[in-house]
Amino acid sequence: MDLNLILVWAVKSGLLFFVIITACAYYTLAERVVSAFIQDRRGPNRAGPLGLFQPLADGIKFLTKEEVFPSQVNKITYLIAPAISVSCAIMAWAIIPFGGRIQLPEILASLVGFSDVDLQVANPDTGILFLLAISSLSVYGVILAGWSSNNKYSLMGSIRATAQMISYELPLGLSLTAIVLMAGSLKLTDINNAQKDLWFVFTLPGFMAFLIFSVAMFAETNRLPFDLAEAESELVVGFHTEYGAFKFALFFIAEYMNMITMSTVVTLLFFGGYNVPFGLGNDFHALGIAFFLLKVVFFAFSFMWVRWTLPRFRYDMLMNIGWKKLIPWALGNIVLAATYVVYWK
Amino acid sequence: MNTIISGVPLTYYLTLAVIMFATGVLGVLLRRNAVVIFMSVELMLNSVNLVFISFSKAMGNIGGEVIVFFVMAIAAAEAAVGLAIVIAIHRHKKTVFVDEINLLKW
Amino acid sequence: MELELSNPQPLLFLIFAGVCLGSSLSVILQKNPVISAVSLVLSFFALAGIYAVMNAIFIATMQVLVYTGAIMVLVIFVIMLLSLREETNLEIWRNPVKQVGIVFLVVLYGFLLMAAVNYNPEIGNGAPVESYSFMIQEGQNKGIEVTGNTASVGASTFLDYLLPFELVSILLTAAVIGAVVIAKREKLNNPNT
Repeated sequence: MDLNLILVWAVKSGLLFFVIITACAYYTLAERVVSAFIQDRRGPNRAGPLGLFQPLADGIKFLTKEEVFPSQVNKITYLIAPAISVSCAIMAWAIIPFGGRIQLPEILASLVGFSDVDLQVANPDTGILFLLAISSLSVYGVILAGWSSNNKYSLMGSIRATAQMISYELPLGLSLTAIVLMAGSLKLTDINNAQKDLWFVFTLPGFMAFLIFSVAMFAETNRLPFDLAEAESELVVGFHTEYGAFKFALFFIAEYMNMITMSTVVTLLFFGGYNVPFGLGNDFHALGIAFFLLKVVFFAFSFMWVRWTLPRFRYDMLMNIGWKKLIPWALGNIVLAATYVVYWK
Repeated sequence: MNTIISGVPLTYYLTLAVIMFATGVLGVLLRRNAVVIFMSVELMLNSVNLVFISFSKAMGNIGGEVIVFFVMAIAAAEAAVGLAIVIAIHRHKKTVFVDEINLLKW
Repeated sequence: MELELSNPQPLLFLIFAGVCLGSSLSVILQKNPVISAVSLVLSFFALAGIYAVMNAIFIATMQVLVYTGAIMVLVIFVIMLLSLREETNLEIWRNPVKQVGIVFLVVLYGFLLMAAVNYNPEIGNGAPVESYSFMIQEGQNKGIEVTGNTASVGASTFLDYLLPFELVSILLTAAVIGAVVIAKREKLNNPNT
């Protein structure tokens, strides 16, 4: 275990952290601008050219607001909850590959002693399971926030949100099983390389898995049409009612980062990831990364698009869809995927 | 048998497992809340999992990890049923403290 | 100390083991059951870290998914829904039978600890690279060989341990049905409605 490897990991993690925090900040601006255009008005455009300094302004606002502690809250869990949400949102980025293996330019290669670098912080054997595990952990942020706030609306919002998140983890995982069957491995790089000839969304089991996964993805991130737990007109603001200033900013960042993570996972699993047609990606890695980012941006946009298009589901309808409709479809899809693998390949 | 797993001798893992197990047993004996007793039982199960995995790595046999997988599944099933029983008892007696559930005591 | 702390793995093991022990003690010593549950989550997470240090990455992920992600969520739900209050003083300290019992247990676990610390099996060759092979019994040269931790665990589950796997699935079904039936609210049979 030499120091060079650790140095490379540290640089990759630091760079990734910086990039995703910036991406998340500008995603919040994009959300407001896109919502505005859908609603036939302009978004924020005062805080700099085209409103591009708006996230910076929001950040300064959150940091300088007064921190209020409601009186009867349980201090430890009240403070841990947003930290858990944000840590889990950021941890999920440790295994996302942005491209294949690149060659470092000679200046850096001579510094570290080797020249092959994966554009991925870690590549464990259980790639996609790690993402499922981290999304299971993010439930704790919601539960502890709602419970420790000592507020009826928060508790009800958090119980509903938690039940929704744990119910939709099942179709999420089951739809991924079909993809894993077709790709033959859990590692994200292997799943990506298995789509060199044909994206998984163009195969029948892959398409069904994509439909199930996208519904479950909206429910996992608590976004419309499944955001009953934090809807303004229903439950004040749900589980983060009692959170102000920086703690609310952490929940906010966690939610938007989860959305970007899910968009990335959809691209990698269903839409070909960083593959470039005709095998050009082996020589021009930048092309692969550019295609990947374009697809991710499209899915991130679709989150906002769906938000202002579909009405909200009632809570019992939500649970009904999750348990009685998506899970049987996902299970049937696994059988379909297994048949596809045995007979069509 | 390989007694150094990832740079750490096997006995360190076993010591950790024994201390966790003893902590679990103390939790079962000392606490009155049924849910906390259940959590101590989970601690004991996890210490046993650690022993299984460390010996699986030491002996190079993958069977230990498979057994741990099954133990986790069974612990999940036990959690569901055990906590359902706790909820049912709470509904009748309005308490979960095990020393207050004494209708059958002579 | 035989650990080489220049490698990251023994250092990570020490950190995770410390967190695990500290939070296990916190589970049994805290009065508030929610803090107990949160400490248990931390303990399981540290244990998953130890599994990852040992290169058992599949079991580490399963530990986070199943234990912290499902079982402890269920426990915290139950604690929240039943609004469990904090425990008062531990009254068992006054019962002499229980005091003797605890001393006996401490001695017993002391012996177990000494046995664990002094365990010295004979040192063989190093553990093989994580792989698994399965020969079909008919004597022909057909077999399956997989490498990698997840693939080995999966192949072993479905080839050597297929019967326990199916039995566990039946057991899980029985547990789900049982839990739903036990925790169901009884319908009040009102003849007037």
